Amino acid sequence: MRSPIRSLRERLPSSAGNMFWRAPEDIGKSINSTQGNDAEFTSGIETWEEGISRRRFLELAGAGLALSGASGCSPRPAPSEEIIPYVKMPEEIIPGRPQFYATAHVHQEMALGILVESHEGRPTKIEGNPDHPASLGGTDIFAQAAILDLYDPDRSKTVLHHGQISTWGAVHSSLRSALQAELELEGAAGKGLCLLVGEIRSPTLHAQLRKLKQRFPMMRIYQHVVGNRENVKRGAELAFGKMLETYHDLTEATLVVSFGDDFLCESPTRCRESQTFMAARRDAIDQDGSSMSRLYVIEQMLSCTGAKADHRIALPNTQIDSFARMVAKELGMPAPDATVSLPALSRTAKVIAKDLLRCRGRSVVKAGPDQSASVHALTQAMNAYLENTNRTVFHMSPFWDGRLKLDSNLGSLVNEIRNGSVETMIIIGTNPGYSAPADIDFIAALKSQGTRRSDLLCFHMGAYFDETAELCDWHLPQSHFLESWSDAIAFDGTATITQPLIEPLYDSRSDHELITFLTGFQEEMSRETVRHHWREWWESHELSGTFDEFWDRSVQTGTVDGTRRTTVNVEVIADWWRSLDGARPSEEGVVISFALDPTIGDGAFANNAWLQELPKPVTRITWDAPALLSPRLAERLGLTVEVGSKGGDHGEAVVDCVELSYRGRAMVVPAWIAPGHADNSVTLWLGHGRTSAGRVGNGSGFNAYQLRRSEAPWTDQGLIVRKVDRQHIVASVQMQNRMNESRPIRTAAINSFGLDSGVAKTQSQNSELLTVLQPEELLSLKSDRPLEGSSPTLYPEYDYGPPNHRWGMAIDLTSCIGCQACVIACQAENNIPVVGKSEVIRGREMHWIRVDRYFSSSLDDPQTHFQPVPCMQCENAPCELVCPVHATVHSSDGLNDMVYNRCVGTRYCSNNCPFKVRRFNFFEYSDYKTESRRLGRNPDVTVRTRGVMEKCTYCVQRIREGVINAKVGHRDIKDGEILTACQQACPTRAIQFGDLNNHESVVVRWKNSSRNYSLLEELDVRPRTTYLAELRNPNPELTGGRDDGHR
Amino acid sequence: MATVRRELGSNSLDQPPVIIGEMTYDSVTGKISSIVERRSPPSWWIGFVLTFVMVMVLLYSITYLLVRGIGIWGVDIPVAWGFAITNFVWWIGIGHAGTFISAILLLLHQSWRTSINRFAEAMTIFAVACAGLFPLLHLGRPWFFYWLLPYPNTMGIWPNFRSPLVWDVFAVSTYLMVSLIFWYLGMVPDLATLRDRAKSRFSAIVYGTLALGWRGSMKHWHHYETAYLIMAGLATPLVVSVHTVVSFDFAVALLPGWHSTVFPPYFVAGAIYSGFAMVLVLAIPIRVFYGLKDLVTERHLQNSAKLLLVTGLMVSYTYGLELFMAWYSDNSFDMYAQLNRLMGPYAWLYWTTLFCNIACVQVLWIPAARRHPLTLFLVSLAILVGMWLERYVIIVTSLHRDFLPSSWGMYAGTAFDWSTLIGSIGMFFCMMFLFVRVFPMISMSEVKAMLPEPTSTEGAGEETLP
Repeated sequence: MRSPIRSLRERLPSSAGNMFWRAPEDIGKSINSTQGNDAEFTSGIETWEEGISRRRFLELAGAGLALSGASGCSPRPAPSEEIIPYVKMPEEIIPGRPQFYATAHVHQEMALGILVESHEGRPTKIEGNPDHPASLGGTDIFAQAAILDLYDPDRSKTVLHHGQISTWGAVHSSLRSALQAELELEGAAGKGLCLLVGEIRSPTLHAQLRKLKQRFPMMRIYQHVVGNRENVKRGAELAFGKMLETYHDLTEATLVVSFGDDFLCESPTRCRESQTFMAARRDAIDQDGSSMSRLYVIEQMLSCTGAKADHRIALPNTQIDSFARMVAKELGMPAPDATVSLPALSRTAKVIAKDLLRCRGRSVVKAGPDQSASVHALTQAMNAYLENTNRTVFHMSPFWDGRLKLDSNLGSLVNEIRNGSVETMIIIGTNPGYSAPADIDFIAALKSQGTRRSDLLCFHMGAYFDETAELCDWHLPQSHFLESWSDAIAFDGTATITQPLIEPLYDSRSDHELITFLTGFQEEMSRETVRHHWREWWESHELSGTFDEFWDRSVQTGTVDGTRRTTVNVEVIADWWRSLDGARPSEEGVVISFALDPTIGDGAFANNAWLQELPKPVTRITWDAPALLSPRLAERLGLTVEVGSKGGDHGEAVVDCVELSYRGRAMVVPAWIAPGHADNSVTLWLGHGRTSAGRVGNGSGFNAYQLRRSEAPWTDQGLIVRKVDRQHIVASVQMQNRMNESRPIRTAAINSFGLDSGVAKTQSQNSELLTVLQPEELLSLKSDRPLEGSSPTLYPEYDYGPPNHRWGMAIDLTSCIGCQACVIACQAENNIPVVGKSEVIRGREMHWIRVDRYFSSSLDDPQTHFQPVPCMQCENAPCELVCPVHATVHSSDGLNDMVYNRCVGTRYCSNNCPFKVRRFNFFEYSDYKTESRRLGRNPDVTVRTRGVMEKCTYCVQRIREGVINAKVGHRDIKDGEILTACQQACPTRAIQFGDLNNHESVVVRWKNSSRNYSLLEELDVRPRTTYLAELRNPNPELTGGRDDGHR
Repeated sequence: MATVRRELGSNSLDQPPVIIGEMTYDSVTGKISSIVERRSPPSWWIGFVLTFVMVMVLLYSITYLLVRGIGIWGVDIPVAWGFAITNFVWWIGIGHAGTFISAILLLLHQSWRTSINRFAEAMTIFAVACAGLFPLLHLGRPWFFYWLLPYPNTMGIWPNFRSPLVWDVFAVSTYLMVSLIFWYLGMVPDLATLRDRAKSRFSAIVYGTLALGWRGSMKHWHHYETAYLIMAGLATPLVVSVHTVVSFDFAVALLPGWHSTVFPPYFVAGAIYSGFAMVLVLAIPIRVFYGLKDLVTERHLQNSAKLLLVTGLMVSYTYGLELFMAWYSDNSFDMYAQLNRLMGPYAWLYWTTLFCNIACVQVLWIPAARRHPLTLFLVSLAILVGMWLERYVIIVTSLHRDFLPSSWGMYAGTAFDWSTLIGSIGMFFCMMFLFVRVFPMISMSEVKAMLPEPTSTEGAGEETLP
């Protein structure tokens, strides 16, 4: 019989680098013949919050001795899911060598394929799965930060019954008795049963719910998802008359018009779309720039996508619909009349329409999920009218079986509870106690006279004991997605079977396991449930091979073959436009819009310190959610932003507070003056102001749900803003918006040879490409410095030539969308601590790579520039010269190494660093105390103590690993074999790293580009990190005829 | 000696005498020794207790610092140096006057120095001791401070000799060592006097031990004078070198506002400026409280005032030079750094600096002001504040806005920054109080050497004192 290991090995791609992955149980099956005590981390492991007293230690030592014989007993019923035991070393696992496993992270209901790095059974880092269509190798901040949630010490660890620790056995008997009573109701089983679920992303779970519904036909299933895609679905229904799923392919798109869609940073397809969009732009620039795509963004709050737009029109969300109608009319298609007249924008609409018509079949019109259904219908119709269907826009039949109705109306659930028609309610993975709209008093419904209702048995399953859990009788801990089997589907229907990386750290269960129990009162491991689902699918699709082969392959690669949906051809229904909402009664007041917080989403990530401390794109605010408003509105209200005296521009913004009164409710929030924000409108971020998020999330920011109403969840008019005499300190890490003398960003507009003219540039295109540059900018761009520093020196140059390596990095500012994925990736890879709001205010945040943001041109309509700044790894490093103890020294391959052990903390290096990329441990920022945190650290990187300087090392641990691997294999290092964490995470591939001695490498190609420049070149520190100038493609018709290359 | 005597007698050229009144060897000895021998006056106790409390504040601040970490101070990124380095440079500067008076003025035959050199030297040592605290405390991991020293170690690593901080270690420790020896050496004959006058067994043993068996023989005097002169010769270059090296901490860095060749002379002038200000701040109350007006006379005040004026003008010149060079260099970063000082968020500190260091000292053009102790005292205080602010401005304004605007920030000292500064001032004065209590604060032997009628040959030192 062939060994499964061998067949596995054969199936794996020849191990180039460390890019292989495997389902753990495959190995386990062959090697681990014993069952039972195979778990590296059994669920019985408890952590001690504090140190142990001597007495406790002796007790434990004694108990340990006594119990050592009983170590074969597992607290969970055998068989635990098989994972690899380290008692006997598995063949393929070498201690110290990480393994990578494919799985998927789900955010906004869609899967992002990921590879999880596992060190000796501990998942430590998440990377994108290059084979997954939604990732293409890139990741986003949420996937990167998910690892921190796994080890969050605030996660709920045990079953709680009325706040008291309980057991799953008790839960099950309670559930059984409640549901048994329901079943006994003849013909009305489930009459008193209500299920409230969050995002349903798993086909298995969906199927399970269908089964459950069959068992309890009268059961109601409600769904509460804050960032839902209702409007997207309704828009498609309006345009096509039926439910559809749509996705866009930006590879061939030469023109993108986005109506409030932050598709580069916020949409569930952000990794894919930003990568394809920017790759196409880079290719176009590499040729001659003439085919570079153009991006129009119409939005209220300045987003990453708006920042990258060639033309951005700031409009309140309530008017975007009207503008879309204007553009549609200009296109010459039947469209309803604009409800708000926007005479100032008629020319813009005309120009956009003209551009769209020119790019027929090569354009995409997009709308954000928070835009009205009308905008979605309009964009669908425009895409169809512009013949984009099946070229850049693809439709699929709905992913979910329509027979299972999920009611998203939380109000009717509350009414049901009030009526007393709900006897048992089970809440899974959603938190309406916190995020219910203000007009639906979910909390009050669950209480009578200030305590829990006695006539309602309420179960809550969630990863945290949150605001909703407090209202329920039972709280059941939910497993993290890295702890349980499940599945998920991506934007195009591609399914991923998500495998666990680790046994549940605590006594938690997955939602599959709960639903299985509800259906049959039997426990089943979620792996069996998922396997069962896919076995049925496999049988119905009659695929070749055995099911085990299919399963192994699917789990290994992270995608299930054959699940990708085929596209369908649909026609826009006649008179679609007549069914759109009529004129909106124009109301007085300011527009209020709600948006998911860019880093902590709807509040589910509030306890994730990485995401809390991550500077939000564009505003660079951390740990807070002020109301964003335009400079003009701020001027009218007399609002100011002052620089505080502690961290100053690098941390401490003292802002005025405003009182927001909206439909009978009022709230005082700090006001943030956001350049580029649409006038007469306010954007509020959801997700803050939580009370039971955990020790990290509690108390950050303000709870905007208190103003949000169910009838207008995203935007409405009628807000009254009033300045109040109160100030608030916002931790924003960059308040300097101007670029000043150093001109860190070089930018140019492509001479518009016209998207249609296709003029072939025969010679030296790149110089022509930059003709719109200001003269002095042009000069600096053209100073084509060779890679070697050419400045005169009396000292002999160090020879970095082969066989040495010369590591270097190039960052393309055209491609950088400011999404901050690199920052979190760096944080995860390099064990970078978080410091908390008070320390950020002091200007002491620790991120090794930062994404600087600058504004140019006007305050109301700024051009936004992003610039990721890691350590420049200067060849003439000024930091090295001044360190008195040789704690920062140069390596033979040109890295500017930091020797943490040697650092005494004079901080002179930071003073002398012109780029200020060094970070100092002013306190003991690293958490040495929390046990669970230790598991998540990267064992290849030192955890730094107090008093030590740290900084980007180009991920030296990865470089050394790559060099050693190559040396062991007697081969050269291939380009792209060593990826820095930021580079690997970057969804747009804006960061390239490699050996400058390898002239075939991408980084050398980039550095030879005429766009290449160094930051602060004049200092002659010779940075190894350089930048490619930012190019934009504005429409000359809108730039006021600055350039008449287009005829 | 003859010249000295002549000067003592003459009141020509408006020069007040170095010593006033009918002083004899006995009266000098009695007057100076009695301060040490008598019980302390209540004013001493008040001052001592007050400063001792400040020392306790310092100890508390240091303990808390060591427990919690450097983060209790206001330093951040980009301003990674703040109060600590400001205090260090300030104290080191103050320490300059002592050696300047003892060594350079000795070599320059400025006999008026004798009345003030002892406590100026003491001041130097205490100031350097205060200064020495800060580079140690400002380390992230102060317990590894010895890694800055070149000692043979199993790690096989030397300190980085290219780093100005290592130069600092050598410069400051050498300076402290030489100053200490110089001060002690000069005190040996006086300690012997105290030993001889000791009334209790305890003090006889202590002073006797410290006096190193001094008997006042001609041979002793011969060796003493030779050694003293050699020490003076050794100390003289240190006066210039220490602050030059300290200025390299800034000048070697590439930061606009720091990177400047004018820094060494600028810092040395500033150091002597602040040092003399501190001498006056100490001397003016002491001569009142201890009735030493006939030993520390107007002549001393006037000469110190003139030195203040000279060094003050040098400092003013370098202020101007900094601005000029920034403009002349046509370097946008340098220009911005200076403009930011003039008009940025810390401008008020810069203008206060200019007021204290340039405007105030101009009063001393007036001869009457130079002789007026209160005016001198106030001007000196202003200069001390101004010189502290000058260093603060140099450090903070250069760091808080350097090259990339994205990293610009601000800096403000915390309560612990202030408590450490105030505590170090307390420590300085506390040590001064102890010093005047246990050691002769004026060099008896040297004053006696200047007296007109040497009735005995002992202690005349004709051979060596020119």
